[in-house]
Amino acid sequence: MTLTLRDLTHDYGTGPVLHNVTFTVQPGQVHALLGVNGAGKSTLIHIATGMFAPTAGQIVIDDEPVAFAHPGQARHHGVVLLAQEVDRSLVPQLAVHENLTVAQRHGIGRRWWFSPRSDQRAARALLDRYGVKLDVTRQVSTLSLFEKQVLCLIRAVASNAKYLLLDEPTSSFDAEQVARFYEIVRALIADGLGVVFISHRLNEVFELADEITVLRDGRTVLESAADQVTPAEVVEAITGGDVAAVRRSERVSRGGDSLIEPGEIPDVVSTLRQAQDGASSTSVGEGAPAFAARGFTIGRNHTSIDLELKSGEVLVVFGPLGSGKTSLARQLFALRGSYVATVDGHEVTVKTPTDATRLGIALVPEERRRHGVWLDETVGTHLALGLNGWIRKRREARRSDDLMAKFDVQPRESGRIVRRLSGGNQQKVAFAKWGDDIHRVMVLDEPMTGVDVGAKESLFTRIEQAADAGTAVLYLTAEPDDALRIADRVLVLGDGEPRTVPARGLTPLDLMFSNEKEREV
Amino acid sequence: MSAMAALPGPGRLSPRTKDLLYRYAAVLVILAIIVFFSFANDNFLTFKNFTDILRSVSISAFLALGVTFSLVVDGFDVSIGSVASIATIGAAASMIVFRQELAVAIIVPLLLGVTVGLVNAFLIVKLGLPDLLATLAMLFVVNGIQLTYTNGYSIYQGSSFNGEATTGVMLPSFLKIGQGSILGIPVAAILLLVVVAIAHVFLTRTTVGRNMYMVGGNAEAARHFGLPVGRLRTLAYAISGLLAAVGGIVLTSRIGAGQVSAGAPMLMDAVAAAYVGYAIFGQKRPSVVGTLLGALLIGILLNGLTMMNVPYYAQDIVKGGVFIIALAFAFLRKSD
Repeated sequence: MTLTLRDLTHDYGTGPVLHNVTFTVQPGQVHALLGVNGAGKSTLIHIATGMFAPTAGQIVIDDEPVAFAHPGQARHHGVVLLAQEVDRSLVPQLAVHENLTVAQRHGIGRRWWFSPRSDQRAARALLDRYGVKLDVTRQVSTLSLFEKQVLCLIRAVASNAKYLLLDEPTSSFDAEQVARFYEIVRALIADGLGVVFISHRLNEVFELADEITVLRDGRTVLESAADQVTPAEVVEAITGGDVAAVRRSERVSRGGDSLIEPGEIPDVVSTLRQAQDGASSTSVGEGAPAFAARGFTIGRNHTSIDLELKSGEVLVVFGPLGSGKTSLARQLFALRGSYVATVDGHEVTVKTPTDATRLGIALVPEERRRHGVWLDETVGTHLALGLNGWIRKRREARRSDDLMAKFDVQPRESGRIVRRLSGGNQQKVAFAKWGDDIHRVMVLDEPMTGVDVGAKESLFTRIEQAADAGTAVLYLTAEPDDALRIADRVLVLGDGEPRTVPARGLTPLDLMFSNEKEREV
Repeated sequence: MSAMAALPGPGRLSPRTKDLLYRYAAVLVILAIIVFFSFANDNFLTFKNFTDILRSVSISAFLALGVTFSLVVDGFDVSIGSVASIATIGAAASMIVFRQELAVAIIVPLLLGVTVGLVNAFLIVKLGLPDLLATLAMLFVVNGIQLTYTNGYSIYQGSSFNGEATTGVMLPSFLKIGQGSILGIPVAAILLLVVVAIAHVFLTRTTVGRNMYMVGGNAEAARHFGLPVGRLRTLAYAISGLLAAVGGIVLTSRIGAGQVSAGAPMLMDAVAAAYVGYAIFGQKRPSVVGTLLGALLIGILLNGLTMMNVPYYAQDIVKGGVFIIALAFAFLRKSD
């Protein structure tokens, strides 16, 4: 009863993304799979669930090699992914019990008739078994996100799942829901289910996992029993310990003093405390804020956030998935209704996104393909969007050549349809469509998702150029490396109160553990 | 014609010519139909017949242009038939019931059209109703309003209106719009070409027009770029109502009376023309020129079939068939 992914190598045609990775899930155990975005986690998951076949290597269940031609076959073998987007996998118009029995009936062969009452009874029994209190006759569309997620979990078990893949399952839960969710997961494990667990929240990983595997650049860099390894070691494995590019906060000499000695293992809490003290004495960025606004509310606890952005400064908002970063970006761009901001000492009401752009706010949204670009339009069209009045071909050609060069869009072809660019180049277009004039505020929401390493550094350079030209940059991310690469200051979101600290001297460990440690103290 | 010249013999189609073939397939279909009718009927390929076609096409073409604007913002306006009807009644009532001047007889229906367009936009942009459903509802409401206003009776010179005799006349200057011609070319056709030219320039040569396409292409991306999505959609529906009203004015002038529900039969032809236009250059993108060609295609077809004595009721079958062929070229293109 073991699921093994043996010697997996995968290549999308742009260079290998997995190198000889072996990963084993034992029944009744939790195996955590960790790594930054792009480390190869998703590829591994996709192979395990039959989304596509690996370039090399095999999937072995109980010493039997199997091949999944499509996700249905993986499910048939009991490998089930609990997707983050629960709404897609449930039928919202149907009741809880119907959603449960749909899965079961699919599993045990087809009957042409059914009794709603016995279905309801069976559903109730199933939910009771795992201590889930849920009215089985309720329509799924009326459930909370948490209830839907739990329903998905139970349904996976009902459809004879033996190996459950959890990808950031708790990202939208509050602390109590997290606890209840893991209670159910533990019950499932006790029943002999094998779990693959992906999470950015290291405290949850250490609470739940028996085994930990860390991927970096498609290779296994750490494989250990959870009790044989320290959080610091895991973080170092995830981030690689060194940062390739020079950090902005270290190059720009206006941050605070170095807060920790080299080689010293930092005491997280005291580092943050010192950092906060440092923030009050040494100001990062000069003068009055270019843009300030109060009372944004984010996250499950409706935490209130006040923002003060200074000209020429990069403020990173760091928080795990589901901490409300995207919500903050959307509020700032008035996509969630109007708010009052202080701009150059004047109070202005920002009613619509159009108002926001008039104030000089630019947004590179998180969901690039849906919100950031027009997939079926040409690069040239994107780069001409900032122009007004009559369309003049030559003016547009000049502008698009100029912007393609400045943002290093490859290939340098303005007639190219954006859909046919790589992710990194699509993102460059999403940046470049705002033009290269100096914006007052640039809001960048996870701008490096799906961006290859080369494109990443050229985007970082662009961001620094924008900041150096006087733009206040708000950079929202869950990736500690990226955060520390670009930040002047970091606003840390999480379970506690949001705090702002200078970036200089911070380590990835500080960021990833800042909240949990605080709670324990 | 360059597409014709580029056509090589069968069996050695390069990808490029294949692409051209798909792109101009609908244009080729029009040309083929013209050639066919020319051989089949001596009177087909005459100046007089072509001005007739233009004249008959012009009314539904105005409506089709309206639909095109709604398609550009990824909406759909089916209220245009009713808008044309109410514009007809508005124009006729202005002259015959209220004895107004030409200017009033033109401005009243235009205002009615824009108003319906703005109500459509309110339902869609502010209330968030789906485009098709909102405009479908307005189709009924507007049709009901013009029927209620007239008690279901047409307004013509000398008719009684709500029990009272009318004293107004259809102004000769007004009748010129739909019936007159300049240098042998129908005024309606000239008007159509002018409107097509303006609409074409607006959509392809101004950033406002392009922004409408951007809203239609991905409304969310447009919003995340700060484009005034609501305003652009409102503008599109207002233009749609305006153009449908122009169609209604030409229709009134053509028949010389305010016939109730006169615009209703135009709706489906207009939608078909706009969709043929959507497919016509293989781009799957609504365009003014495409819509004009779509309207011409349908007009030429009906004219030719009538000349060949194809029964009226069978013509719809041919119309539907051509519609399928034109769309198939555009939608099959992906699969090769």
